[in-house]
Amino acid sequence: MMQHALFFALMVAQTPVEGEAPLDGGTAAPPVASALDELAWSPLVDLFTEYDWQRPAGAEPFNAFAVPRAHLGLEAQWRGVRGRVLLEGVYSTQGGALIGTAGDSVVARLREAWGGYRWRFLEARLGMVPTLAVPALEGPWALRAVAPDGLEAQRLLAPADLGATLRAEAPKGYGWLGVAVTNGEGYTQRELDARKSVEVAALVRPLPAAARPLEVLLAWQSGSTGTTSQRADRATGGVWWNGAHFGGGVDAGYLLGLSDDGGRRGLLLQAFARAELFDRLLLGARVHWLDRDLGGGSTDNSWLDVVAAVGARLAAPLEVFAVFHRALLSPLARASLPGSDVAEFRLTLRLHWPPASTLSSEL
Amino acid sequence: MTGCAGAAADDRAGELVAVLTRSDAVLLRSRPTLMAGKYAVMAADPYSYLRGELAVERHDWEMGRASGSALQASQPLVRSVSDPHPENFGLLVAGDGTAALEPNDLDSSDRAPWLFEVRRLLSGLVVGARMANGSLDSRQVALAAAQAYAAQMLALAAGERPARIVGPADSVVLVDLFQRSARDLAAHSELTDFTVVQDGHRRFVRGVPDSTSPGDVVVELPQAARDDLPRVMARLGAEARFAVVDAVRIFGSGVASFPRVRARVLLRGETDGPDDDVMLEVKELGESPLAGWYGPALTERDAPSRVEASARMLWARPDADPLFFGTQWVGLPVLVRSELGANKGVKVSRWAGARASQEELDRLARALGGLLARLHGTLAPEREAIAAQLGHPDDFVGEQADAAAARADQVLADFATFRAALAQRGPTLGLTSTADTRPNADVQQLFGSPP
Repeated sequence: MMQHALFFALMVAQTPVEGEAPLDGGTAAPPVASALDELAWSPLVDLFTEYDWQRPAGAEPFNAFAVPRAHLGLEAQWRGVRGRVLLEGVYSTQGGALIGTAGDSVVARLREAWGGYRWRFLEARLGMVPTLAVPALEGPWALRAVAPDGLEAQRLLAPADLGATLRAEAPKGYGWLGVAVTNGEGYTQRELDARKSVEVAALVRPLPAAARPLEVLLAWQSGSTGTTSQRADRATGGVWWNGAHFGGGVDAGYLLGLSDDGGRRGLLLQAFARAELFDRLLLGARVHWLDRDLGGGSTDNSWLDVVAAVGARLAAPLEVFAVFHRALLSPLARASLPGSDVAEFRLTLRLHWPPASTLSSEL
Repeated sequence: MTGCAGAAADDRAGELVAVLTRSDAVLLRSRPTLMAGKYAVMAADPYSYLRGELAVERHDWEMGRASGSALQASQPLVRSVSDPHPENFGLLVAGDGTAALEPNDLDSSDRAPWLFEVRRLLSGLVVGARMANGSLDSRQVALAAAQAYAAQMLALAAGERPARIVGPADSVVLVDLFQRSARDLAAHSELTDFTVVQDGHRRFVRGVPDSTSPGDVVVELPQAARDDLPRVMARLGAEARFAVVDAVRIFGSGVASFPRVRARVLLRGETDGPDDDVMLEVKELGESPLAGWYGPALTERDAPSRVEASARMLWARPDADPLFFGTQWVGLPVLVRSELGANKGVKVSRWAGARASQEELDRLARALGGLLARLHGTLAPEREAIAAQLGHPDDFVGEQADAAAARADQVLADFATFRAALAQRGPTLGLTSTADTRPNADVQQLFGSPP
């Protein structure tokens, strides 16, 4: 059904809108009311390509061209009905595996596929949906091409999952309140247990009347993972300034259950800053620190991750960045996670469409 | 206290099952009967459990429970066995007919932290020693292996040439191994044990060839799989002597590889007569459980290349098994290797009587520890990086022995937990196939299930 709707949407888009003057200056057709006038759709593109040089500790340097993100999708809206299908390119192997599709081809998989309905201030979605906390955290950072949010990078929360969301917008731009019920394994894995993850999040903008882009996020996930429903609860909170030209903030995640160990406790602290100067120059830096075992006593099992970037917007949908990334691990974490202690330099190009859109902030 | 201990045990049980089923998810969904067989074998004894729990060991290493060290545990990463427990070593008869002690199972072979490998060998020795002889000092066995490892690595770094182990030295366990290998080489025991001659032609015995191993079952191969074998064997040469005479599907071998497709293939030998026929095993490969523990560059382009490259690099001579290679067979990544009765593996079950004394297991541990050092020292940069960390060998030895003893304690506790989980959650630990995860009929026929 969704395919038919999107095909129909494309056909409509290729038809001149009735009532408008033709470009050749001929006589305009008489206006005819049509329900299709209310159909809005947009292609979604978000492409990161890069040259990456990195040196893992104790190993030879390595360099490669890569396409870390290739998103292509379509979103359509008719009256209150909304839907989105978003594909992403990904290597057919993961985690260092060697057995893939046609060697190790880049293949397309679904990142989002949902339908929903918006009624006044409420919107419900069902399918493969964006989750709540990660998109809310990555929105104000706005430089996803430079680095993902730490919760996503460390695979502590998924940016999308199979399930349903319900979101209520507060009046006058004061924010939103959302709840998501999802499988809990993220969008890259099949569900393994019968228990579902429940995420509740609230984004508050306390100063909308003064047009001050101050935002506060509070989120809680009651999660489970694996065949034995291992605990994967997450408490997340943050405060940031989400201005058009400047942004910055801090957030923290308290982790109950890590990597199939439901009893493990962890803590993630993050900070970021970004600036856009002279309408072209883009600057950004972010740091996250992860304690992988709060119960480890005096044993330090932690990970410090620092990213800094300078970039330029060559055109509205085209940006380039020079990125420096350094992951510094405690001796125990370095021993436990071979290859993670790394220094990295990247030249990254981002092409996105729409150039600026609330839709793209969720990608 | 009891409540806390019970909760901790429940936590570990949940974690153990989650890790195993996540690691085995694809196999559990596509061939649940064979996976039930694997888990049943793992539940038989602690050593069999250890052979199937590499994913758990990796998990515990990544969580920081098994990786603590005063040394740089993960640097260097070494191209090695990746699962060097004692039963993954054995005799291989080379192209010139001489046997030598070598790693004989490289299915998991990839890059691994050097200390992960050392501890995997040592903890395997400790678990085996505890099973074989409850009265000995199992930590002492680990000490002996660690001492030999350090001594061999330092000697190699000082310029000593690596040696091929072609004799048992002072080890009664290895004497037993070499003697049985020589006996079976002369007798072509693989032919007498698994085949019969009918009308002048040799063929495999179907059913249960060995009544003492009722779990080892031989059945017909699907025709398509059989038809693809001549193409696979072309790698050995175009001579008529490598023509396929017979081939069968076998079930019941291995622990970690229990659910993988295995076939025995009989090739024509130098003559048309049946007495010089050559037997091979074709074995499906999967991903290494340690996949991803290397840097941004992959080690090889696919699993057969990974395993074959490891063998050529690690063995003291590249033709340690002259018929060994990796390839594709009916779409499956596989390795092909000699199926000789003389290729005897180290077996914990033979550590009995005089072969299970403290002195003898220490001697075996020294042989295996020194051999692992030879494997890790194959390449100069890795050899030098490890040797540089062995400036205080006594500290290294003591730390590794303690770590191995602690790991063995964990393995024994996990073994009991695993058996309880199997009893509670069923033969596939609660994860099985559904209609949309089952392979099509042709693939199911290839996977098969033990009759």
